[in-house]
Amino acid sequence: MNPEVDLQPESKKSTSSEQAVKAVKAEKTPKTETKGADVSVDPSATATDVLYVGIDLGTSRSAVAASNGVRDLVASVVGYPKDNISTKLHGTRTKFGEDVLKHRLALDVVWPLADGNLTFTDLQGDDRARSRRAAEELIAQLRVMASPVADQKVYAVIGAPAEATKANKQAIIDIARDAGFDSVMVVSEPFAVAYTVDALESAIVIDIGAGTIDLCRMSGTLPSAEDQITVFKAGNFVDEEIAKRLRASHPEAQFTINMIKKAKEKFSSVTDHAQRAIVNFPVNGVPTDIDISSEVRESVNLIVPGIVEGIRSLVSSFDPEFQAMIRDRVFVGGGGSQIYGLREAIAEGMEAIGGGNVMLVDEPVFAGANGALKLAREMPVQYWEKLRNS
Amino acid sequence: MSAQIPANGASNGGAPLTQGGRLHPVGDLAGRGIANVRLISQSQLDGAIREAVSTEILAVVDELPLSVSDREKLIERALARLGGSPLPAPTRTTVQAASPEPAATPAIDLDALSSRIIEEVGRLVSTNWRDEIQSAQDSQRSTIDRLESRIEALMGALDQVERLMERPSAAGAGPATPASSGALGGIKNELLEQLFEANLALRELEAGEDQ
Repeated sequence: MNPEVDLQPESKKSTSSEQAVKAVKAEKTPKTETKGADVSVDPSATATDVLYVGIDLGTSRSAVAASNGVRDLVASVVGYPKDNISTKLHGTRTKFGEDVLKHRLALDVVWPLADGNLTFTDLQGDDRARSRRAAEELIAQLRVMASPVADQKVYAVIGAPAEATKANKQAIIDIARDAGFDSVMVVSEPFAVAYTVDALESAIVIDIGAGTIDLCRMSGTLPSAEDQITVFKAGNFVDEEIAKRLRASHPEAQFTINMIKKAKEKFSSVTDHAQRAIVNFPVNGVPTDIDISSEVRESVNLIVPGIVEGIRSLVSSFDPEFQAMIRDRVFVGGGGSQIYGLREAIAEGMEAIGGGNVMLVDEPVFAGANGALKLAREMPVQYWEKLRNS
Repeated sequence: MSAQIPANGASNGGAPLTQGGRLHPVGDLAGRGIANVRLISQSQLDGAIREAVSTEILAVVDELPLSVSDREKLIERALARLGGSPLPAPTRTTVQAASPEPAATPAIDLDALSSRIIEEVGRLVSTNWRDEIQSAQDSQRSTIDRLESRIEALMGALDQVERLMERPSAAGAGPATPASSGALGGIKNELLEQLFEANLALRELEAGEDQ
């Protein structure tokens, strides 16, 4: 999917929120190919008054799951034509996701999130406006991807990092409303993952993203600040460390961080530790197989201590009677959870704090979005209506 | 018994040849290289068959386990069909000498026997066909049953999905999909309420800041 949204000409430019809403209104009822399933979904076929949507707004990649069966992913990046030549080549439309990465040299690229939070809240002036606009268009695009039909209300639960500030949560709500959502709730991302797997009591849920690793202790109530820890050495950090080590061990190899990220995702399917992580990167222009198993392992091990320390902290501050129980119910989800050997490394690291049982949730990439959708659907309608009018 | 068919093929007085045969234009037959055609009517054919059967009966009659009286009857009927007279006495005498009276041998009616055999063969053939048809029907029925149960299961799943997708009839009646019942359902309901309250508080906080 190469989603695009129309931009107004400069002379008639409306606010970005208006653009986003216009883009949403212009949306028809496209057939959307779901990922991870072998069927195509026609959202209009089962349209109801309300479309419930769950969103995992990630630093690197955002996932959307909707009650009409749509499930989709988009890289959390927005691109605008850099100059007139770029405009001629790519048109005036805003580009999203892989399309931006593919044409990044000709585009003005904006990543609206960093470390799991919207970046514009920390910016000033033009940078702030540009970043906010990108965030709004990205969220509007996620709405479009959910494929609402005409006149259908769209209620969304959006996942935010465990330690997101109130200002950031409020910003998400504001932007989502501007982007065309009728009613919005923000939820802690690891809580959404916990809700997906019904790990609502005596459990620890770890959501491993690109920007942050969120740990959340579940004890039957909505997690408070004391129940949640955010570690900022996450997937992107692993990518950087792999790249750093690879540059040192194979200086002749030519690669980008994006290539490392893709290779890392490919290794997620490697379950046999006896297998090697082999990448095919160019060396002097010639595609060459390079074994980066040790680089990956070393880099992954760098983030394990932070995670294990987070687990230890959450366990040690829990009721001593139930500490053994939550150590045995550690759920790992999020796109980063697929990093080669990470789950095993966490389990190994936990040996030092008494051991435990680490489980990978189903569909880790969609775990947050699926949990948010489940929350959206199970939320009483009167709550939605009240938030809509507040 | 043989005759050269006239060029117009109307050797039977113009009546069409329909029973037991097909109409072949003489020209067509000539085109296939057939110069002479012997025309045999159904009655002639029947007669020829009777003659052949009678000849065969006479050839094997001595070997059949028949009473003297039955054997004589059979020979008489065969000869009558062949248009001849009963066999001379010596033959019969010879027959009698060669085959002592098999008093214990039951009388067998060959016509009845052949009828029974034909009936039996017919029954076996029809049974075989019935079995084949039954087998095919069973196979089809089994496939249909499987398809029907699959359709039923799919319809059930569809109903369930539709129920889940349906919005409650009145706003405020409840969630789109109710949280599960039991202890977990209780926790979920509590969590949903807390999440709602937290989001409401966020809105109120924002509204307060704006003012």
